[in-house]
Amino acid sequence: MSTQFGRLIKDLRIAKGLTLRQCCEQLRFDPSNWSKIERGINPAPKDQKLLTEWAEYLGQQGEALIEFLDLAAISRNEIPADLGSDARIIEALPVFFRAARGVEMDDAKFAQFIDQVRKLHTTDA
Amino acid sequence: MPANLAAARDAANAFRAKYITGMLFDRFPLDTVFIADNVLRLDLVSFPGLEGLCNSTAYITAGMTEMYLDEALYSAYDSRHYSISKKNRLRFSVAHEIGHLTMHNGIIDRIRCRSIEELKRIANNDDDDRKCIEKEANEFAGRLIAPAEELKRLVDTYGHAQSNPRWRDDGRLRSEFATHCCKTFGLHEDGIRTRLDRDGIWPSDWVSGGG
Repeated sequence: MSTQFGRLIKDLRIAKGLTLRQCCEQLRFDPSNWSKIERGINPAPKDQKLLTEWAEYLGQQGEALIEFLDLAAISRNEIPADLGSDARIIEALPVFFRAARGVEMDDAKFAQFIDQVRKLHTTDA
Repeated sequence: MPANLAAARDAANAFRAKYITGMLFDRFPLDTVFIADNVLRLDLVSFPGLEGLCNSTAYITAGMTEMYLDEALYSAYDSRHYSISKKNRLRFSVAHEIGHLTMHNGIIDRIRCRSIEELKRIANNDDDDRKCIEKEANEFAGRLIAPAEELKRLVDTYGHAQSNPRWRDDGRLRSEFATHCCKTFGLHEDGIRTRLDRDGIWPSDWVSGGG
């Protein structure tokens, strides 16, 4: 479900040998927000100065810098459809959801869990 | 179906050979978060309060492209002032989920939840198949983090330093070794002892006096 911009920044980050959190620490950017951009849930930010800083940090210059900014702009017109739909949430559920021995998950905790899954796959306002 | 622990150990060895051996990150303790993120290119998603809700620190999703990590442990993992036990717990959990990805990808369609209601039903009621799957993933994780060859090498080195030729019979020494190895592998003492048993390197039934 990732946008081209999301895939690009992920590829560039990994090429630099950085984990997501390491990259965000260097750029002083919230890791959760960055994760949502990589996964195509949030579009790229609008701030051109910020985007240029990212691009330069990730080694993009000249033509590559222009493409970086173009893809960021395109991503802002490609906001995914509502990610709160049940089909999307079901894909995001754990596949090996193991009950810890002797520890039951009550209804309240289960509801909180599902609610959090939804939030993690919903565009930030 | 019974858990196939031998197959899990083989899968861990194959995974190591394919992705880790000879790479810059081929060192101990193994950085499983880096492997999940940068090598397998999974989307690692910080999940606030995951451990408190589910009593587990990591989950791979049905699409097998995302892994949820408990936010508090994930934050601590990169922190310079990290808690070693927190980091080790996450290390093992991520290795466990990588085990699922490696070994159980082919059965996802059979066992995945198709609705939230179904997930709720199984959340508190694991069937025997799921329990076996979990055991296999645990075995994979333990073997990946503390490979038998390296563990055996360390046991041999430890043994050479002992004056008593019957050092393997001493449970106290076994326990001391397990404590010593925790830091090397980033694995809890109990995990080290499990590896010593399962890989036949220094089984508990050889010793007296605990260990």
